[in-house]
Amino acid sequence: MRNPNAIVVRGLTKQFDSFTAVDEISFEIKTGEIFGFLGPNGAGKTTTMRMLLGLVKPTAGTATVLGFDVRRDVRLLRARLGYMSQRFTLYQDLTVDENLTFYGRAYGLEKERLLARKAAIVQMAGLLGRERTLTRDLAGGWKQRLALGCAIIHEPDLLFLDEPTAGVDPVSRRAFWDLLYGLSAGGTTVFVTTHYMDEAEHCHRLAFIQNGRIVALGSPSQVKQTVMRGQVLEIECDSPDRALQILREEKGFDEVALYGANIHVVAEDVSGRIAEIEQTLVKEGISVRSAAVVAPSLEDVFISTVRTGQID
Amino acid sequence: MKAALARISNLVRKEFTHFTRDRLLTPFILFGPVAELIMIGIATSGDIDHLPTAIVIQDRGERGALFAQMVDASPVFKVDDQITDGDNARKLLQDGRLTAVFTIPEGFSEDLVDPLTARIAPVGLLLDGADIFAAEAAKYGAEEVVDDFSTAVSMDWMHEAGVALTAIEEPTIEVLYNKDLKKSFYELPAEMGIMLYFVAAGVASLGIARERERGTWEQLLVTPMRPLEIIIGKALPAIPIAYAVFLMMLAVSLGGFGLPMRGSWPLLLFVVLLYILVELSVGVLISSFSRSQIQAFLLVATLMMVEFIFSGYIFAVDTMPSLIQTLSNFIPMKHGLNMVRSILLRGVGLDAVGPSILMLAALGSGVIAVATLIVRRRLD
Repeated sequence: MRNPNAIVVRGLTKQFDSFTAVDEISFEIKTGEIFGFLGPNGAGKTTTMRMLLGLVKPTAGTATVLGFDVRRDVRLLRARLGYMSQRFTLYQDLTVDENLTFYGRAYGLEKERLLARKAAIVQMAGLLGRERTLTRDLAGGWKQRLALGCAIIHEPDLLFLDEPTAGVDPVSRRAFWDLLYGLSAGGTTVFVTTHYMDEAEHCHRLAFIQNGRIVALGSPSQVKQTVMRGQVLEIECDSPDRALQILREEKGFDEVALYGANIHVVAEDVSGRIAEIEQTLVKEGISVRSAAVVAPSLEDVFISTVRTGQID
Repeated sequence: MKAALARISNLVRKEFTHFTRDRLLTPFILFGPVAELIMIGIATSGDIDHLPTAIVIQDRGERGALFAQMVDASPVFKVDDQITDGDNARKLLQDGRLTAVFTIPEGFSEDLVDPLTARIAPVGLLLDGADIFAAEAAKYGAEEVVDDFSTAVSMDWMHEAGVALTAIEEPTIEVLYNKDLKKSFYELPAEMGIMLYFVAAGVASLGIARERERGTWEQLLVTPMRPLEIIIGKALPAIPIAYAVFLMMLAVSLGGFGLPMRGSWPLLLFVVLLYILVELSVGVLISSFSRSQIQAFLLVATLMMVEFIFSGYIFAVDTMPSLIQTLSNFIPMKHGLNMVRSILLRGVGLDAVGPSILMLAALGSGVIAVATLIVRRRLD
């Protein structure tokens, strides 16, 4: 009965005057999947999401959402979609309960169903006892969970989240992702854009978008394997900021970056150059505690992909 | 249809909740216009009189003294008899401390001793034209004094000649609708028109612009609500709010400033509702190309100046070039203001305000059509 694919996109393109924001992208999202959409600012993430929501008309290509064509049938779709934008679009001068009531009624919920859903959301978001608090008085994590609650009060089949965890503390982010897993387990498809690489690791599948094009697509481990060129060398040493500068002046590395307190060096044959790199650093008086090739993180992949894309 | 009404009423309810929570804008919108009206009413209800005046008397005769006495007796002037020097008086006029300076020249009395040898006796009057209202009042006051003085002198002569004179005919002037030519009767209805524009256009445009500014507009668009439903739901609350403001202003004008209500109540209440609807749709139009509240507010204020100038409130439209006179018919405020004034003061009926009602209805429909079109297009 259920559509195997929640979203099917074929050659989707959006041009604003001479600027191509989204350039012939194609992908599918399976029902119940958490699909991560990654990319630098201005890559076309939000425009893609807005086309799928029917807020922006595509210039070319097709997008089928829950079996409906977004160009024609978007109004039939609306009741089955949830959307949470970057700015937690809640009414700050309304209480928690008033926000939920407003969005619930906007989606046509009434009486018992509205009450039941509000109770479920308050429970889920940990807002019990705060129903009468003005939204502006809530801390960031609560606001975020309330915004999610408003977006799913009508139990949508497909949920769009535009950078939902921007500006929220790590504990709240963790709690938020647990909620998303719960929704996904319940059959809701989640389409999420994010900057956070650790979050991207939590997605079932990912698409990397850059300059309006998808440059990598697959599960997090697939993306790492297929997209990443070269190996990652992780170096643990004294004064990493100085070491960073020294290594950046060396030739032949694709990328030298700080990764926590360590340094990541990316290059095709980096395993063969470990001794050489250690020597360079020791000569400058920096003692190296360890240097070993590690599995690339998504951040390595992300930066490597973006760099390569810029060169192309 | 039932679902659409439920969605609109849901939005209207939310708007009223916002309105009750806003401690800055709400008192301003509800009571600002009434406060403004009271100030205008107080400022314009009194006549302009007791203007600071000096008389420089260079003449030593009886007639000069009589003229000075008559100026002093006029309620228009308040003569400061300490100032007698011409140069000093001119200086004080420049400083703004005097509005009028009379100069009775030397030989004034002698010129008027005998009707057979009488010459035109030139009394000088300096006025502060920078304060146009005071200067105008002083000019009329001075003409009145001169008239009375001439009559007195003529009577004197005839009396001396042994001619008995009973009375001098004066024209009978009867002012209709505003017997005492009270400025406030003119100003108060006009002020109501301006304030209603502010409230209706302001509430409607700021409400929509706020959603755009905070990003909630898109959140509304992705719900099953249609764009038109959103706009109706956002704009509707402006009607009862503007109407409440109107009733408060009307109560103050009738009760506090004695403004008469000579026409039909249902007609008055209807034309004001229509006027509010038109200005509200102007607000919706403004909001359709505003991205922020400040932008909407500035557009509302700018358009207010345009409507105000062509409404005939201060500048008589009849004296403007004919093209502008024609264009002024497309200014809602002109119709709103004329209708309210005519119904209140002249007590006119539907036949007199009918053309304005039709014009407002046409303007309102046109503005709503354009606003809807813009909103629809912006979605693409």
